[in-house]
Amino acid sequence: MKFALAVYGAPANSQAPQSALHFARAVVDQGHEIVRLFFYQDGVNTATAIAQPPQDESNLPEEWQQFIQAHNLDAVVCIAAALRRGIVDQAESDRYELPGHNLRKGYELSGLGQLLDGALMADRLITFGA
Amino acid sequence: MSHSVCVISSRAPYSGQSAREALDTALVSASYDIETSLLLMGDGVYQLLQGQEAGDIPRKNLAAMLQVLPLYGIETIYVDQLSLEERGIRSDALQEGVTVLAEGELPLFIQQHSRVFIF
Amino acid sequence: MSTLHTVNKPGQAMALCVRAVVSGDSVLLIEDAVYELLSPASRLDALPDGCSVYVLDIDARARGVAVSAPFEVINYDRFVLLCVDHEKVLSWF
Repeated sequence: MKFALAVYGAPANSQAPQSALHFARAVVDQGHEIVRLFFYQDGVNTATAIAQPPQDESNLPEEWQQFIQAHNLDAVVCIAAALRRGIVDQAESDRYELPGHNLRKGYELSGLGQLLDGALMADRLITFGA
Repeated sequence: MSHSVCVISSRAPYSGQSAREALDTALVSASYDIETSLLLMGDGVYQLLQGQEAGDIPRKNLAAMLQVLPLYGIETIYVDQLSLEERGIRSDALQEGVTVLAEGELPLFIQQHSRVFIF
Repeated sequence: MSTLHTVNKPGQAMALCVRAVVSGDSVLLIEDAVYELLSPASRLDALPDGCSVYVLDIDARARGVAVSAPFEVINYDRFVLLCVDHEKVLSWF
């Protein structure tokens, strides 16, 4: 079965990205396919490359990145939501002449249409909200 | 199979970006020529109150933004009657172009859509 | 034609979820929604007959919330199976 997962909460103010990761691992373990991950609203903070939680806490951006890369997943971060919240890649950083960029490798900035596409492509859409 | 989308918006208009980002989702869906419904529930019904002037906050007036929906083919906004009653809001205090759904109508209304997005 | 409703907190999310459930649907409590089990006036009492209520094991355990019948404790593998077994998933938060 094809799943699309949407994450709307940030690591620091919700359990959403953690719950979604547990769920995603179970989906893959059971041989199902994740056709799209979509990070929207505060969920875009999951894609930051520069969060550094204390060593005895989980590093969700890194754990998600490893999972995405290990399973070659299509991980989309909503570009409008990300720009609002200060998550940018090199291209957006250049476009707006920002002092840096912080989108983690493995994630891609794209439009909200990718959430719709993912939901329509998948048999099930599961959302993890804040 | 032809799809239909229901976007449920359940947050008040100005405390965060949720109402705005729910509306954006409905607009994107409608722009794909998918039959799209916007349903306001819970604190989301506050989005429809008349007389909003959010410029001093400053934020864009969400009620005004909802009025562009017909341009995208979304002719009516659905509202949960119980959410209005719980908040002491009479339906005549809302902007026009609203369809109120009674308690018994709600589950079937939501489930008749093939995809549901909750915000 | 049944739906799985996930809920992640008590309060409004739970109230709106219960309003959208019909007989034959299932409800899964995750994250802070497990606290609903402590409420003396639980909104879960208002669910129609013929609904199953599940509770995610690690979230209940993390919060020190005990789960007893008729509620069923499940893990993430069962969560995925429930998604497969229901036609649609609505996520209330």
